[in-house]
Amino acid sequence: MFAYITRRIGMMLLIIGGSSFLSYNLMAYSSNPLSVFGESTQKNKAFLIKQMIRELQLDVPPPVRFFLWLRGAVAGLWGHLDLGKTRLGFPVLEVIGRAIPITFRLVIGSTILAIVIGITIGMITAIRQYTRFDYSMTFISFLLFSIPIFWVAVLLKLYLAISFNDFLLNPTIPPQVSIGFGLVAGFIISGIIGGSRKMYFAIFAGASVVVAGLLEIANVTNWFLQPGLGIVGIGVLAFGIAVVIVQLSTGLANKRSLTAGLATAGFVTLAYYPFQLILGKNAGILAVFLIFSISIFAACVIGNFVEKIDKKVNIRTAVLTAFLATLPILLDRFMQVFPEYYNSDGVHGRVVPTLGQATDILTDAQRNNFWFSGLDLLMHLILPTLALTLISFAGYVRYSRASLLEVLNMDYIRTARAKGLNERTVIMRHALRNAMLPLTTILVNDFAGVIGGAIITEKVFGWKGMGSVFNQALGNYDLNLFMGVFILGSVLTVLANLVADLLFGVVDPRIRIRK
Amino acid sequence: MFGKKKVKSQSAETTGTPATRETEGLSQGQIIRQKFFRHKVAVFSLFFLIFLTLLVFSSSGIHLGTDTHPITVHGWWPLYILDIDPVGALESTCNGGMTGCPTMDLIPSFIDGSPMGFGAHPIGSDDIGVDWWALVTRGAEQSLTVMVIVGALGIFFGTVIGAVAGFFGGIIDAILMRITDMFLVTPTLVLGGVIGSRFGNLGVVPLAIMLGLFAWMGLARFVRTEFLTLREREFVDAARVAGASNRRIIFKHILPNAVGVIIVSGTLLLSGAILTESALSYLGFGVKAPDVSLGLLISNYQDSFIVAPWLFWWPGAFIIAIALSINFIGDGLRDAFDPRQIRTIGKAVKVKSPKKAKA
Amino acid sequence: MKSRSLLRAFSVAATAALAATAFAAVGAAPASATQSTLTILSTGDITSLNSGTSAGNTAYNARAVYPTGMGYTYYDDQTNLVMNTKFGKMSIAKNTPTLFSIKYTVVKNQKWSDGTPIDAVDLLLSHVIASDAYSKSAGLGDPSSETPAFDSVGYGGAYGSHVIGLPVLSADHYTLTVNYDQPMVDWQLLAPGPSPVHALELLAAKNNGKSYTVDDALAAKAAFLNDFTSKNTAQLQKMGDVWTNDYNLANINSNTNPLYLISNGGYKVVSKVDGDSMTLVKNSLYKSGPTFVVTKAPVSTIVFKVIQDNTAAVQALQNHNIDIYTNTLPKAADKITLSGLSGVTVQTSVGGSYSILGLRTGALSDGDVPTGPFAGNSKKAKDLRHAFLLALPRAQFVANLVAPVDPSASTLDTDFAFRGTTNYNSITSASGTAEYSVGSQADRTARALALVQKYYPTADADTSKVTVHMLHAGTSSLRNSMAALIVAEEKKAGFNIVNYGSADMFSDSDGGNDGVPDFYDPQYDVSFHGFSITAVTQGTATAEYQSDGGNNEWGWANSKVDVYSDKLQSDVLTDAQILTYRTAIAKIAHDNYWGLPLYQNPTLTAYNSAVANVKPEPIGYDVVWNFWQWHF
Repeated sequence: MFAYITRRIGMMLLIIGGSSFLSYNLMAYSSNPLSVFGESTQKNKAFLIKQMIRELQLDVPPPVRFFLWLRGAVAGLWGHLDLGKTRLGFPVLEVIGRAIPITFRLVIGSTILAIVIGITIGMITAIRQYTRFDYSMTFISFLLFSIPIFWVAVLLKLYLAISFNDFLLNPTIPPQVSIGFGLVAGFIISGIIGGSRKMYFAIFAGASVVVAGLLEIANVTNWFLQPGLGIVGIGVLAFGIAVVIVQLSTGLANKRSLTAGLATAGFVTLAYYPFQLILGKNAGILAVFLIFSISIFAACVIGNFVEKIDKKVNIRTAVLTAFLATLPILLDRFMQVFPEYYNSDGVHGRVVPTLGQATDILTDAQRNNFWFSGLDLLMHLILPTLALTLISFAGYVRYSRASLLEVLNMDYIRTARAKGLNERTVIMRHALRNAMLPLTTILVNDFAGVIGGAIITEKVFGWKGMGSVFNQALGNYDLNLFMGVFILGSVLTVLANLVADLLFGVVDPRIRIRK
Repeated sequence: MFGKKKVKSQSAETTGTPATRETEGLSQGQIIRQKFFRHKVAVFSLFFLIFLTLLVFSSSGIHLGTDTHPITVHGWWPLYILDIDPVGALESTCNGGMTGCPTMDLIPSFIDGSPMGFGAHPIGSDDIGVDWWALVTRGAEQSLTVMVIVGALGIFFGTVIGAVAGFFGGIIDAILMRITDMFLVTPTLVLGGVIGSRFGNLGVVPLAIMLGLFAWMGLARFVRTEFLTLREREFVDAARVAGASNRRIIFKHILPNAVGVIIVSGTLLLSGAILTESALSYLGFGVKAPDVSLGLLISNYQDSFIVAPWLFWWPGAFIIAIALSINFIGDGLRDAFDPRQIRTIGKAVKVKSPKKAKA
Repeated sequence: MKSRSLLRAFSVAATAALAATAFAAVGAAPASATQSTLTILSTGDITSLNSGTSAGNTAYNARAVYPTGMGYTYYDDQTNLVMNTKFGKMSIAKNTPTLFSIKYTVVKNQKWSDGTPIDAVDLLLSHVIASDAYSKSAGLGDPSSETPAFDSVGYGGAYGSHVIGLPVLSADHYTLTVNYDQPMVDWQLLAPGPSPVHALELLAAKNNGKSYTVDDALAAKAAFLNDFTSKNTAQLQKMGDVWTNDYNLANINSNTNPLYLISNGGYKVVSKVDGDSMTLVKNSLYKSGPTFVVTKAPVSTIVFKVIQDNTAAVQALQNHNIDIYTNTLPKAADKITLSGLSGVTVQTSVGGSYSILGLRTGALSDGDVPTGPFAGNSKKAKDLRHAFLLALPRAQFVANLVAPVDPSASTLDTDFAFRGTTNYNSITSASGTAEYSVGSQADRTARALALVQKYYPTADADTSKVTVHMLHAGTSSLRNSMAALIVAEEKKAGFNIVNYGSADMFSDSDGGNDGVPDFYDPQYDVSFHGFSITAVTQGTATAEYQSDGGNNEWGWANSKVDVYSDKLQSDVLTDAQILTYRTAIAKIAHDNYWGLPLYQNPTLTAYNSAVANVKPEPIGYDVVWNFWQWHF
């Protein structure tokens, strides 16, 4: 194992070295940094040109100059990484160091969302193969696959951000819009559930009425300006989550699990008020950590005491419920600062921004308020995350659908069915796990392609992460900066491949890494 | 639930599974063709794409050669991207003073009072009076050209490199695959940006060729895997024993069996290429004026979106239409090449009589 | 069957989630949202707080730091040079042919934002960064052949060429006298600007700026005066290093050394995010300029927000994420879109820049001789140039591209005077350039074809005989549209144009071996772009026509033009003389068919209607010039 990893890492370094050599020369030969002096009417132009040639070592031919650059990069292996300086004289490491967290903030959320939504929908479409829902999702995912992100961004900004902010000036939804939303929701929900024609229409009608009714209630209570969940909302969500978790993991027939899940949901609901004290105005990430720890600890205790047998299963169910049910409390806490956020100077009622990564002019008090600055980040994330999710979840839908369909055709599934296992167990225990296997590769690779994906998104939404650094490097013929972005991207890709291979060996016992 | 359905259809069969019955006495190619043609959306997409390509190329004509020695075949559309309306022709306005509005009127006169008709610029014109249909079809022509060149080069190099690596294995495989990895670790847009900033100046063909030279890696990996398994199969051994040369084994025996993988990942390559081109043009690293491409048109005119929506929707619609139909074709091909996929045939059994389906 | 109930559970949960959201009851009802921050669009990066260095010398930097520094003058929205008497006064003390001295006084009781008093010592740095002689004699480097310690763009100008000795400081340090060796044209524009010299001195001494007193600052100021007069090379070099490099701050926050952020303007910089935004807040000690308008809703914070993409900028304005939007190359769609937005006011201003097209006739400084059809002074080259200019569809540019933004727009026949001024008609009629505005474009194109047919009898609209290479800045769709119009119309006159748009057209690559076309490359026969005007001077536009002029990109050369240009640039002339010389240059340019101005570029400003007194100023610093008048 150790030898394998060492060999892989050695190969990795060689590959990165080769591809950096390729890119370095490509970039060096395709751009001339001296061209900035064209505009210059300065008397000392000749001197400046000479100076730049000396500073950037332009008199050394690129293939040789590469090795000068490489010396600094290789020093990174023993902790003295030096990627040179940008054209403006800032260390490349510093510029990239600033940009990385921003890009990751942008990409992580959307990747997770895309994976969760994409795989869920993909699985449902596989189970509901050749239904209306399957066909519409197939069409939608292919459509989203084919849309350029810069094109869809214009539409999102106009119809989501600007329209929503304008709506907040007078937040009442006209009845016909509520009904429209209701019908759409009804179509989706009934499509997922399926069933006989009668059943379909019953669910369709029910879901439509509930959703339209909720929107009307939101109107009456001025919910859009003072959002929140309250203890009632948390309770409903917590019990809903408990039911789903139990159903997915053991089935509702398993009374012990159900008891554990519902008890945990009850605990989380009751903990709503005590948690408010922990999540005070001066709270930070530690408080968030604390409430999750309390919930999970309580879940362990509950799972432990519900029944003597099958403890492990009960604890697992309870812990999962506790974790997911505590999330709405966090959401509620963020919602509580919404009115303050709405009225703040930097926001002045335009809560969904069309661009930028954070409000520029938060006061110190606002910046130090975890909830306020957190909400600000979330609001800035909405549009780019949505855009990135829209265009990338389609891929997961297709892959997971194909993967699950393939698995469902396997003999062992037939065996499982034949020995009388119920469909839930077949899908959740036998099919899903195996269907997830090939997805790991895609997943890991997607994550490595972060920088490529960020280039356009960052430009469209005015973020200043790796993508904008790359654009700047290309526009300014900034070779060192370019190489900095490049090396980060390629290291990520190669590492991701290594992780994928190792992971594959772990999750699939059939694949053993050659010693 | 689907299980129930399946059981039903199977129990209706008495002479075997639908798949085997369907395919009795058909060659591999016939089976694939038949399967593909049962995928209605894919077939529709194929015809739609052919129609679109013909429409685009015939309407804008063929324009090759250098600036000084152009080779031109005019299309049927009367206006080309170099034809500009004279001063004063743009006086008709809409949307608060915007010129170049679409002149197409599909509402009969008894409803809106104006007669139906196409007018000079059915889908409008840009801000100086260049016909928008001419620009969009020319842009689509360029984008399709990029797509085809990138696809052809990618498929060619991917197949050759993948085949050689997979067939010979050993040190050749190791070297070729490490080279592939080397290209693969470079993010596409990063490479494309560098290439585009340099070769975008020269026009679409050199740009497409350069992009194509860096587009083969994914395909090469798939082909290699396929070759690795296929070369161990009995028919390869049989051919070798019979004295066939390596070349003959690769081209006559293994390649036909790997063609499914090649076609499927080839379509992915194509739809990726058209989006990459539009992204590069949007960033300013791709096709440059006076050349047009769909990405460039969107990039130039997306700020007119509110008052001149036709400048935004048409090029976007063309990109989506092309990419969407290629994706559907790819989906159909994948189904067709997948021996385990019984969908279309199973369905056909239910709808048509077995006899008819066999014919 | 079970999978159905599984999915049902899912949907129950989803519905429950929606239901839960209905029960909310926290927080007070929001009052109407207030605003005291004004966000201004910056279409380019703000890279430096020092716009006097070659690295920081961009319009974006200059505009963003304008509210932090007030000097003797500023331009208002009518392009008048206004004397800022709150800061100080200047007057001519002596006016003889060999000695021309100007007295600058500084109003007392002004303070920098750190509390240090402002006096005339703060003006001395202007001499350091504009006098070549001082730089050389103080051992700071010869600005004409190497990078001086203060890497300033101010060297080599009129100030440096004619100033005598050191400026003379009065005993009370509130008056400064500068002597020149001849009467200076536009002397008001040469007024020294104030700089917080104590900050430079402290920064050079590695002061972290956290704990210094006013006494320390005064001591530092005295030290600077001493270093300045005694030409303390070592100390000046240290300060030069700070001045040149250290103000290029990528990020500014509470950890930044406050000595970099000292201001005497209405605002001071408090934060900056690299490539994203810069934030300024009110300077409570501001006394150096016009007083703020008293209002209940002042602008307490200004943010410059960098957005390079026009679509993103328009949508940001629509969403009120920015309050002031400026576009210097607007299209019709921009104006119509912005005019349709609610709560947004749109203004068009003209006078800050114009577009010009030139024909390459000779070699530039790099010596590469063009060989195209327009090169040289033969009769044939001149006729072809004349033909090209005649067929230039300028009326169409205006009708299709400019008039939708600026309804009063028309073509521009000379760049020595703008339309509507008294001299415009006399210059255009006397020089002959009015011929390009007479009659219809069809007639002019026919005349052009006739001229081409003198040399190529078979040329006509279908068989182009003269191939011309054209270059323009290809990044803007407006420029691309213009190029398309030119290509189409010139074809009718027998010209086959190879059109090239390059984002790097101004970037010579020192020999042109990088394959990126720029105007230095001799194969380009035609190029067009815009010129911005940053100051109203007597020598206006001469830099384009003078054979070694900084803006002459086409190799135009004529000894008479050089003589007249010199006079306009450095002699004190009467109005009649100015008109005579300008007309003479315009006539020579026309007789040689060098090129033509096209039209005056309108600037489009759109702003949040809630902001009062936004007045675009066509030259200089654009909307920020009257920040003291803004309020909500």
